[in-house]
Amino acid sequence: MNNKGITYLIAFILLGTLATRASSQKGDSILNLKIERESPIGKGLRQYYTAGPSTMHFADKSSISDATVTADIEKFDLPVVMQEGRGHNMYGLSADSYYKLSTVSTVWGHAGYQNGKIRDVSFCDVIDYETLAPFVLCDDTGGNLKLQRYDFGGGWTRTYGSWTIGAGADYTASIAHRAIDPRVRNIVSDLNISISGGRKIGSRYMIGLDCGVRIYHQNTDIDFYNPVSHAITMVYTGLGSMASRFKGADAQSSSHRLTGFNAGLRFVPVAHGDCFFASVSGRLAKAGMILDGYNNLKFGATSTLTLDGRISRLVSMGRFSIFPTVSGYYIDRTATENLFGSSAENYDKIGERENYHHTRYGATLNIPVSWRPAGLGALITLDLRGGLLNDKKYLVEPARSLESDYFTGDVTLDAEKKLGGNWALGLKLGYDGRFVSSTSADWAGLDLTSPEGLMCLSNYNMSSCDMSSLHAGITVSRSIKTMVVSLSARYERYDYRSLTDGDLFITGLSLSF
Amino acid sequence: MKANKFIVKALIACALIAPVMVSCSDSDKAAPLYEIVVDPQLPSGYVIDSQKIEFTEINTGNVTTVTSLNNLQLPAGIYNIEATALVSETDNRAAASDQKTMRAIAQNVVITETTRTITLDWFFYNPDNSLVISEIYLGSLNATGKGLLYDSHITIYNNTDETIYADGLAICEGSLNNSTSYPDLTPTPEERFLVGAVYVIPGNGTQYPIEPGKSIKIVDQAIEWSADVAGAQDNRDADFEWYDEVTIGTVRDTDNPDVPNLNKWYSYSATIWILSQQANRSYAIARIPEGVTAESFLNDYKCSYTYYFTFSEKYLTRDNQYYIPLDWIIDGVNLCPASTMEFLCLPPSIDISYKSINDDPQSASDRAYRMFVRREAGKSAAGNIILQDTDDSAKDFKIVNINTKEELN
Repeated sequence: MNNKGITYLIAFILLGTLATRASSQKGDSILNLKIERESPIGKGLRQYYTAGPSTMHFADKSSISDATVTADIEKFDLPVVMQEGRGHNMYGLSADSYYKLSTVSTVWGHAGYQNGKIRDVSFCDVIDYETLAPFVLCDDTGGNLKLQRYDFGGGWTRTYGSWTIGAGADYTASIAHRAIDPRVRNIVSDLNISISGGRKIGSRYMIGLDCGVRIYHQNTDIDFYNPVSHAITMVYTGLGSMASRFKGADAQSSSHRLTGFNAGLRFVPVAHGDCFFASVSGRLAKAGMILDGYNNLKFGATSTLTLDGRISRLVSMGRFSIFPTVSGYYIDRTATENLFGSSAENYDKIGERENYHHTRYGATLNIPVSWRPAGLGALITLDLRGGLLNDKKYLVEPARSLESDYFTGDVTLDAEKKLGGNWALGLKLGYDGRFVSSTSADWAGLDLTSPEGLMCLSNYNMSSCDMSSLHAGITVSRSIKTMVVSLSARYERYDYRSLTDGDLFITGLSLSF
Repeated sequence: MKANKFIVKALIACALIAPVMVSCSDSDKAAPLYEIVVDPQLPSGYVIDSQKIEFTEINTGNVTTVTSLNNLQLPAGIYNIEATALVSETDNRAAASDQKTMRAIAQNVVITETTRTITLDWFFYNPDNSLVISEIYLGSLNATGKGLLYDSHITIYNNTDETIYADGLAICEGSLNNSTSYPDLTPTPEERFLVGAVYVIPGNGTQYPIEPGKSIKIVDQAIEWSADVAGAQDNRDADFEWYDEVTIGTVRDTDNPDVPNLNKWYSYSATIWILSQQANRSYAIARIPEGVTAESFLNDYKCSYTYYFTFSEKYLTRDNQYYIPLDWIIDGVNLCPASTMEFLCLPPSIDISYKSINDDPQSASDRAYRMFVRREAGKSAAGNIILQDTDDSAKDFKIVNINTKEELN
């Protein structure tokens, strides 16, 4: 779909939402809703309700739609992860709508378009590196990647007595390309479908069960306009290793096919007041890499298991509210390479080896405390977060490994205040820190002066150093009749101890109604 | 209360399930190892004293090196194998100096659960080899049937996987006759190679490359001999020819302007130089060091030799001779009919034996069309043919009919 098409689609969604609204909400109530939504506690609550279709009915108290234009600019002196580039300039247009059809059913929809570029991506000729690593085509030349992304989604939920059912789907299409040799072109299709069922327990809670499937495709083609180009495309297998057998002219076209299944269980309140929240979920994704230039040879596959869980409790004490949350996650990825026989026998598969492993786990305690001072019309939140994380990658042959342990600490002060004349002002100031408590690296057999060795060393140095960031944001909103116009800006400054600095600037203009 | 109890039970259930799910993930799944059977195709009469075998798995690039084939285990894969061994003859396992080097190359050997046998075809290998004399042809029968034509040639082959330049390479013929005895000869062949002809390939150092697995052909006269005499050779495809400008007598050489001439540094002959039609001389190729010119060679490498002439019972001295230092020599071969063999002009370090064109050639027809051809030993890691070079011309060479390619005894 081209840019015109997406623009028309967004306009259609907006107009459709406007047209279906039986009565207009006052802008003031929309403003209040936005303040609640965007407060730290509000975000924490919504995270539970939006995790699956069956609980979406309780995500917001009333219908709301947004149309937003954003600019997102990030710049680093050096890339934090070379495969993810040195920052980006992304500009976007999106429309979201959450509409309560009745007291028992809700629909929601989303459409968005992004256009921009990612700077200096190297050793990776695919997008969504984090999803597909380590089996990716790569080269040591690199360059900027121009990216267009379209996404659509929506869903529906309805309550029947004590039971609730819901279904939702999201589709993202992306096109990326590089304008210099090696000229990469990626086309991505990402479909997520979920169904959900829930049942009320007592008068206050419901338990929801979600199931979903993800179908993801990415095609990558690499071309050279310069007939004497010295860049060589290779197949990356992790931690500085390249497939010794597949490189060069025949390794310039690949496909990735990912199929994922997820399931989750959520326990959430359906009535207001002090309540518990809990959720556990698991996802299993298998992604295979196919080398198109070798007669569609299946090079290998990754299997990623993700488990996460969280538990929270909302406690209100007069003008104070506190929403402590304990969460944990575990992600384990294993990459299996196929071993092939002679090319004369069409590379028949003769074996396989599980050679690459990446494991991450962590636990976080988050305690946001909000306060509504009397007579000020303000909401002030102090958000404290601390966590312990571990990240380990290793290869079996050669025996390379990288491991780091971290503890993290974040503190954010968030203040929202309604001013006179239908204005509202939001300010945010915060500090995030990541401190490495231990780190180890074993580079067995890797020449750290080679291009791939330097890449691994750079990525490791960035991931094993202390990092801190300061962020500040401002949002100015004004309700006009039945709408709210908001202008927001956020700035974040990163510091990777004596390695690199970075700046992030996000600004957006939104119209809510 | 009811809900809180439920919450507690649910959390306990999750706490129990999570570790089970985590522990269910596979620990490292190492590739299974298979016992490998190696079938060494060693030439009869030889045993391996020591060996080193390298298995490179093509998919992963992993290299496994072993020095013994006992209890060899490898994971499934497709392998390139390079093996080197020191061998000695079964009945002569004495000094290390008697050991010979052998190599075996095997490519794309698949190992699976059901396919676990590897065959190693060992061949003799000279670690010092680079360029070798691959062919010597002395001539076809002339029209009268009583002599040989000058359609002779020498071929030099690149026995490595790297390009080597022929610029400055000297083709030398020994001045002494392998069918004659030279008692008490000084200097000995172990000291110097006495030469009767030295012709040098021209060039600036990088003008005449010999690619890996390729050869150059050097002829006497680069003409179409076959147009005049049936069965003779067409030497117009030569890379070089030696040309002698003759101003005396009636014999003249022929110069093909399309074929570069060798630089003539020295020849015993006042007219033309031809390869030994009696097949009883030694030939060598030598790398002339930088800085040595034809003039300085004639000045610095002149010598005399002395030997005991049994017929007159006196020591004879021959002056105004020339020699090539042994360390210049890249390859050499002693030629002599078996029935007349008396002396080896080249030392054993260059050629321990000699090659006979025919056991007892009585006439030109017994020597015509017979070409000395170096045997093929195997293939290099890059897929180029390796010619056998054990410094033993009796084993390294065979006699082949140049027209029919039939191997002759």
